[in-house]
Amino acid sequence: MAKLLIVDDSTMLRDMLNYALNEGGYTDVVEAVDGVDGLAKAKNINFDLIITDVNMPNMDGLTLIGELRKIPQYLKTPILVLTTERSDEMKAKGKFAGATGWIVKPFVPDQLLKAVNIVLSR
Amino acid sequence: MSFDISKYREMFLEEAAELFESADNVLLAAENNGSLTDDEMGQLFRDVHTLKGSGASVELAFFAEFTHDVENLMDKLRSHKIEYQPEMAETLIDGLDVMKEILELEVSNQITREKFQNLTTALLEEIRAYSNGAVAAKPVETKQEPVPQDIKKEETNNTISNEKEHFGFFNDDLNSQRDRKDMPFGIFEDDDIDDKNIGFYDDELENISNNTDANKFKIDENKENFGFFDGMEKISPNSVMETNSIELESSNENKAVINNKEEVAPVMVSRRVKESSDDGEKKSISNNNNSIRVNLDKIDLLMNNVGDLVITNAMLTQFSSTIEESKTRGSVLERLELLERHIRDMQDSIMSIRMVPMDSIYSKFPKVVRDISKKLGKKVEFKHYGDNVEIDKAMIEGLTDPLMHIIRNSLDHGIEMPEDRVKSGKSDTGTISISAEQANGQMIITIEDDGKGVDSEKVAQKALEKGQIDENQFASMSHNDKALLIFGAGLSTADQITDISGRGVGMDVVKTNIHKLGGIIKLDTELGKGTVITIMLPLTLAILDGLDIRVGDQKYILPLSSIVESLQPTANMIKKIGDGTQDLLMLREEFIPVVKLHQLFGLKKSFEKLEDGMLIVVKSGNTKVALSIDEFLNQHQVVVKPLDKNFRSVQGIGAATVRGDGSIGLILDVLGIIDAQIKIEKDMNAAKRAS
Repeated sequence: MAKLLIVDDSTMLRDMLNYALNEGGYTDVVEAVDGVDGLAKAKNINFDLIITDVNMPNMDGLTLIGELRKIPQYLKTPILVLTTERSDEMKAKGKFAGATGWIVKPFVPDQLLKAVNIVLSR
Repeated sequence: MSFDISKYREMFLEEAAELFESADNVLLAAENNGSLTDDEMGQLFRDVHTLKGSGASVELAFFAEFTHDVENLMDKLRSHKIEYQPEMAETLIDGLDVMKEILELEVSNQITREKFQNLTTALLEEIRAYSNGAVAAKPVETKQEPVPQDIKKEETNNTISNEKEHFGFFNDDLNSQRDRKDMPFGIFEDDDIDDKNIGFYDDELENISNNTDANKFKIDENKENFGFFDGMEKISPNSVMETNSIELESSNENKAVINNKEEVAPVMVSRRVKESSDDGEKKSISNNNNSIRVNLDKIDLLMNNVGDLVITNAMLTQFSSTIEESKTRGSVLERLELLERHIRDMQDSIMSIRMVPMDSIYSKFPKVVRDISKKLGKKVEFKHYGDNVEIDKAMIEGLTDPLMHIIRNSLDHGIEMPEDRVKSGKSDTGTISISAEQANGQMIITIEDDGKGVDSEKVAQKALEKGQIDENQFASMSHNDKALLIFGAGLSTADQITDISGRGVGMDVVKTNIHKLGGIIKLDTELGKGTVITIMLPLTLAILDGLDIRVGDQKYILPLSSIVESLQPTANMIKKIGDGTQDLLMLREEFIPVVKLHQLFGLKKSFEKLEDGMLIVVKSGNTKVALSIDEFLNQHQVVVKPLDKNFRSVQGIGAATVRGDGSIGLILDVLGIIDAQIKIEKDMNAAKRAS
C-alpha cells in the first residue's frame, strides 16, 4: 500500500485531500500542517508520494521540495504541488524546486486521483 | 466522486474566522506603526491566499473573485513590486471587511451579481489603483531603494537556496540537452495550455540516478520537460482564474482614473523611504506544529466518561467498606485510593486539553477598538496582558460578549474626546487595557480605562428613579457599589443613545453572562481618572466543589464558591417583616433576606422555627441571601452535568451530577434563588401598596 504525505496549512483542504484519496483507495495518508512539519514527518516515514501546498507558514512548499530532494531517499519520490495559480511562473518555480507535477486548486477529486495514479504507477 | 460542500464550508468558515483575525491584526498594527515588515507582509499574503484558495475549493465564487484582487495587491507588496504606503492599511482593512460581508452573504445564498458589484466596485477601484500604482512608482523606487536586493532575498527564501548557480547551470545545459529528445524550457511555455489543471514535469529522474554525479542541479536540469494530460476536461470553478484576465483589462481601463494617483505615488514612496529605517522587527507568532484540532464535544464526552469513572470508583469504595474481613477490606480500599488518584490525574489532564490561551479572545478586540474609536473620533490605545493565560474553552463563548460590551462601553462613555482629555490634563490618546491572570484557583480578568470614570451618583439616582434600589439603599451604598449599578437592567447615563452602546441593555447582559459562568464583577471608578472592572471566574465549568445540604428529606449540592458563611441562628437574630411570612437575618448590623428552601421547592417542613435549622449565607454579585436548611453534610468535588432540555427548568436548580451511590444530585443555582427571592419581595411590596 502506497504511503502518502499531504502538506497543507488549511485543515479543510487536508480533509478534502484525505477524503478524496481515501475514496480512491489510498488510505495510508499522513497529514502535515506546513513545510517544517512535512519535512520532519518525511524523515521519519518513507513516503511513496508527497502532495504539498505552496504558500504555508514556517516553511513554504517549494522550500520543502528543495529540502526533500537533498535527502537520498526522496531523490526520485514523486512530489505534486498544489497551487491556486496556473501561471507559467508558478509552474516554472515548481519545476525548478524539483516537483514532479502540479495540481491546480480547487481540485476535482477524480483528477487528483488520476494524477496520483499516474505518478504511482510509473 | 464529489465533496459534501456544506460540510467543508463549515470547516472553511471556522478557518476563515481565524485567518481574518490574523490578517486584521497585522493590518491594525501596520496602521498604527505606519509600516509593514516583510514577515508581516508574508503572513498577510498567506492568510488571504489561503482564504482565496479554500474559498474557491468550497465553491464560493464571489468571495474568491473579490479576494483575488486583495490577494493580488498583497502579493505585489510582498514581492516589493509596489511599496507599502501607510494609506494602504485602511484600504486593505476595508477589503477584509468586504470579504467578510461577501462571505456571509454567499454562504447564506443571499448574494447576487448586483449586490456584489455594489459592495466591491468602489473598493476594487482603490485596490486596483494601488496595484497598478507600481507602474508609475517603480522607477522612482529603484532609484531610491535597493529593491533588487530585496527581491533576490525574497526569491531565495521562497525557492531553493542556490538559485544563482542553478540558473547558470540550467542555461549551459540547455545546449547539451538538444541531442536528447528533451524539450527545452521555452517550448514548454509555448505548449502550455491554460486549462490544464494538473500536469507533470516529465521527469527523467531515472537517467539521473544512473549518473553517479547526481546532485541537486542535475535533478533540476532533467526536469526540463513538462508532460501533460491531454483531453482533460476543464474544471468548473474557474472564476478565479478568469478574473485574472479580466483584471488585466480593467486595470487598463482604470488607467485614466489612476493617473491622479500615479502623480501622488512618488511622494508617498519617498516618504516611505524615510520611514523604512525604523521599521520595527516584529516576529510573527509561529504555529505550533504538534497540535491537532478536536471537536469540543469529544472532549466533553471524555470528561463525562471520566466523571462516570469517578462515580463508579465511589460506588466501589462504598461497597468495599462493607467487606467484613478487615484485612481484605483494608487492601481493597488502599488500591481503590490509588485508582482514585489516577482518575483525578486523568481529570486534570483532560481539563488541560480544554484550556486555550486568552489570546483567542483578545485577538477579536483590536479591530473593534479601531472601528469604534474611528467612528467616534476618539484616540484610543488598546493594550492586552496575559495572552498566554489559559481559560476553559467552554467559557470563551460566554465571556467574549461581556468583555466586548465592557470595552465598547469604555470606548463610548469612558474615554473622552481628544480635546476634552487635553483640557483635563491627560494625553489626547486614551488607553484601554485588559489583563488576565490565575490566582487563588480563580481566573481574574481586569479591564481598565483612563477615561472620565462612572458618575456613581448619577447612576444611583437613575436606579432610584427606576425603583431598582430604595432610599435606604441609596443612602447606605458605597461609591463603588453605586457605580456597579450600571450593570442593572435598563440603566444608561449616556445623554445620547448611540448605536455603539447607550441603551443600557449591554451592561445588564454583562452581569447576567458573568453570573451564568459562576463569576462575579467588581467595579472601581474615580471621576475624571478612569474605571477598573474586575471579573472573577472559576477556572472551569466542568467540575465544582460542592457542599451537600439537606432540606427536608432531600439532598442538594451548593457550590462552595457561593457560600459566605453558615450559622445556627438564635431567635433574636431573626426579624419578621411584611405579613410575617418573610424573615430577615440580622447579621452584624446587616439585614439579609432569608430564603426558605423547602418553601421554594415545595417540600414538607421538618422544623417550624428558623432557629431549629441552619442558615447558610450565600452571595452572587453583591446580593446576599440566607438559605434556611436542615443541616449541611459533607463537601466533595462534583462533575457538573447540564440538565437535559427535556426537563422543565425549576428556578433555583442549575445543573445536576451523579453521586457516589449512583443517585442524581441537584446543584443549586444561587443566582436563580436570589432572583426568586427578589420576585417574592416585589410581589409583597406590590400587595402592600394595593392594600
